[in-house]
This record gives sequence, structure tokens and C-alpha cells, in this order.
Amino acid sequence: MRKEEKEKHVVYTIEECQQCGLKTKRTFKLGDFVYKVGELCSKCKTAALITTIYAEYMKI
Amino acid sequence: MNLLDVLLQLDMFLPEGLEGQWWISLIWILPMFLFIFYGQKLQMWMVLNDVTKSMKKIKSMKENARKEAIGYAKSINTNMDPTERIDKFVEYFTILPVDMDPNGIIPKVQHFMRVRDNRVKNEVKKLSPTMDALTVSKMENILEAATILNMIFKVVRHFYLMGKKSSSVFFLVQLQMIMPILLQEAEALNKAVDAFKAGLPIGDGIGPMIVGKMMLNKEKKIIAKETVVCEDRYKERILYLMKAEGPAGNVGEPGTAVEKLINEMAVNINSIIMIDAALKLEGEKTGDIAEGIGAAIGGIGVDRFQIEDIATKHGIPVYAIIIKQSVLDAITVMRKEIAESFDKVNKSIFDVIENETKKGDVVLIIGVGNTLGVSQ
Ligand SMILES: [Zn+2]
Repeated sequence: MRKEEKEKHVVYTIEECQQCGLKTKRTFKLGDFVYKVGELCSKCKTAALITTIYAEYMKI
Repeated sequence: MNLLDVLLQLDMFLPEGLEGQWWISLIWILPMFLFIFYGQKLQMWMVLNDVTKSMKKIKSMKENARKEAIGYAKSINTNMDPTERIDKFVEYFTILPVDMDPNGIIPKVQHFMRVRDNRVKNEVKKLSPTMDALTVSKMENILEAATILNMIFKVVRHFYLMGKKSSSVFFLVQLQMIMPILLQEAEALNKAVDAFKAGLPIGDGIGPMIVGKMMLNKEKKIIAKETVVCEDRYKERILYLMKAEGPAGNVGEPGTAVEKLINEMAVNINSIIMIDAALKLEGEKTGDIAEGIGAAIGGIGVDRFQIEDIATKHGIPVYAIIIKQSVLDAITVMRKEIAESFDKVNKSIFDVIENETKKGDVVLIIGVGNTLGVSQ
């Protein structure tokens, strides 16, 4: 029988500023969803938009 | 001639110097008879061992999903012990209408599925009267996973016990043959519970995610149960955008929505483009996209029937864009590879619009799938 591959994943939330286009990647927080208004953009202080949430997998 | 004579005659096959040592022949003759008479028993024992191991795995996954469901229900309403309710719930079943006379079966199936969904929703709402739509849908999804896992386990156990009782290796071998597929499905369901609990977008949500972005900042209205639609313009074409209402874990009723759009709202649609996640074959890459023709929508078949039916009646071409993924990818948190197909799919959609439709056409774009964690 095949040995099971162990995989670990981290879920990230990507926010995009609607004004300057700055993208930020942070770990997912409970309550996040795609197209929710996110945190303030660090550059121009307008609210960014969550554009995607995804998991990155790595073998361990 | 007795056995000893036979053994003595076999002496000639022995290497030089060992003549007369007839008992050496027993070393290979005995196992031969052992395998002839007890071979099947031995095989059965090995198959049984294998199946038992897999069954134990499925059992632990089933138990885990049940525990997660109870845990989540408790987190919604701390004053209530939901154990009994959930144990009753995972045994819940739906009897599909008889299909001996398939004429007119689709409305029946739709009716029963609606009744089922409402029943599930009411059961879930009983856990706490103040629950919001998102929590209700999360609980529904978790319960569904727990119910299917329970079902898989019970069917596996049935065949296992039947095989053991009748000492028939054939029952067990059949079970052993489909076990890898069952295990894969069970594992996917087990892992899906985590995504459902956290309200994470799942692989199946890529269609709604793509269309959801087009719908941002536009006036949306509910057109069918848990389904939203809005209007947009692109290069002198009128676009109708449709998806299930997020970020709750809905799939909506796109079939009914398309019927309403065409029959009741009298929108004269020229083309339909459907974007959906599709099962990849082993060897294909997760997140690859493909274009084709036809109603790209899974589920029990009601929505697909409705869309095919109305498209045929009105002569509307239906274009499909699919994003490939495995069973596991489709119901667990969206993988990076799937999320990264976003731009490619977007480009494909506008390519289809530009190449396959004319100026002044009305194009309906449907993002098919479970929209958990994806708003619009
Ligand atoms: Zn900014």
C-alpha cells in the first residue's frame, strides 16, 4: 500500500486596494470572505477589498 | 500405491546425494495441497484484513464529522445539547421519485429536493432562532457532509458483514475494488467540514468568484431561491450576470432563474456562458481550464435539464468554461492553483463574448457552484 503523503496548508487572504492597486497578503482570519471590504490600505488609507482567499499546500 | 510410494518415486527429481530422502518432497507437496484446499480461505483472510482497515478509517472520519457537527451546533447555541438532534439528522434520507416512467420526472425531483432543503433548513434553525443566513448555510453544509459520510460507512459495513456472514470472498472483493474511490470521497468530505466551519471559499466556488467580481458595485436582485442576477454592458452587448447569493454556502437555483429570466421577464437571450468547476481526470493538472459546449452544471440534474430545455426551445447556444479539479479540491478550501486560474477564465469569457456574439446581443453569464465565502 502507498504511503500517505502528508500535506500541510496555510490559508491566505489577498486584499487589493481599489485606489492604488496595492496588494497585501495576510493569513486568513475568521469572518473574511471574498469581496468583503477589508482593512485600510497602508499607502492611501482607503478601504481595500478582499479579492481572493486560497490555501497554499506544502509537503511535510 | 500409497503416498509413501509416490514420494519414493519422486526421488528421481531430487539432487544427487539426496536420493532416498523422500521427506524432502514434502516441503513442496504439503504447501501445494494447503493452497489447493485452503487458498480461498487465505485470500479471504487477506481481503478481510484490507477491508477492515479501510472501514476503520471511514468510521473514524464519520465519527469526526459527527463530532464537528455537534461542536459547531454547540458553538451556535450553548444552552442546548444538540447531540440527539444531530444523531437523528445524519440518518435522514430522501426517496427519489420512481423513474420507470421518466416522463415529467424533473419537476418531481425538484419538488422533493426543495422539500428536503426546507426541512433541513427548518431543523437547523431550531438550533437557534437568531441564526443568520451564513451560519445556517454553514451548518447545513456540515450536516450534509456528516450525513453522506454516515451513509458511506453504513453501506461499507453492510457489505463487510454480508461477506463475513456468508464467508463469500466475492462480496469482500467487490468492496475491496471500490474502496479506494470510497476512501477518496470520504476523505474529501471529512476535510470539507473544516472549510465549511470557517466559511472558506471551496474549489467549487471558482465560478461564483469570477462572476461575483463582475457583479461588484452593481444593482443586484434575487431572481430565484438564493440566486442573484444583475445587468452590465460590454462592447455594445448587454450582459446578465448570475450566481448563487454569497457569502453563504448556497448553490442557488440557476435553472429556475434562467427560466424566469426568459419566460417571465421576457429577456431575449442570445447566448449563455456557464463557468463551473469540473472533475479532472488523474494526470490532469488542478486549475487547468477548458472550453466547450453544453450546460456545465453538476448536482442531481434538475438545473441542467431546465437550462438545456429552455436553450433548445429558444435555440440559444450554451458555451461552457470549466476549471479542473479533483473531488477533494472541489469541496475543500480553494487551492492557490484554482484561484490563479481567475485571469485565464476571465479572458476566456470575454473571448467567447467577442468571438461568438454580435453587437447588440444579450449574453447571460452564470457562475455555477457553491458560493460559500464568496460575495458579489
Ligand atoms: Zn491604496
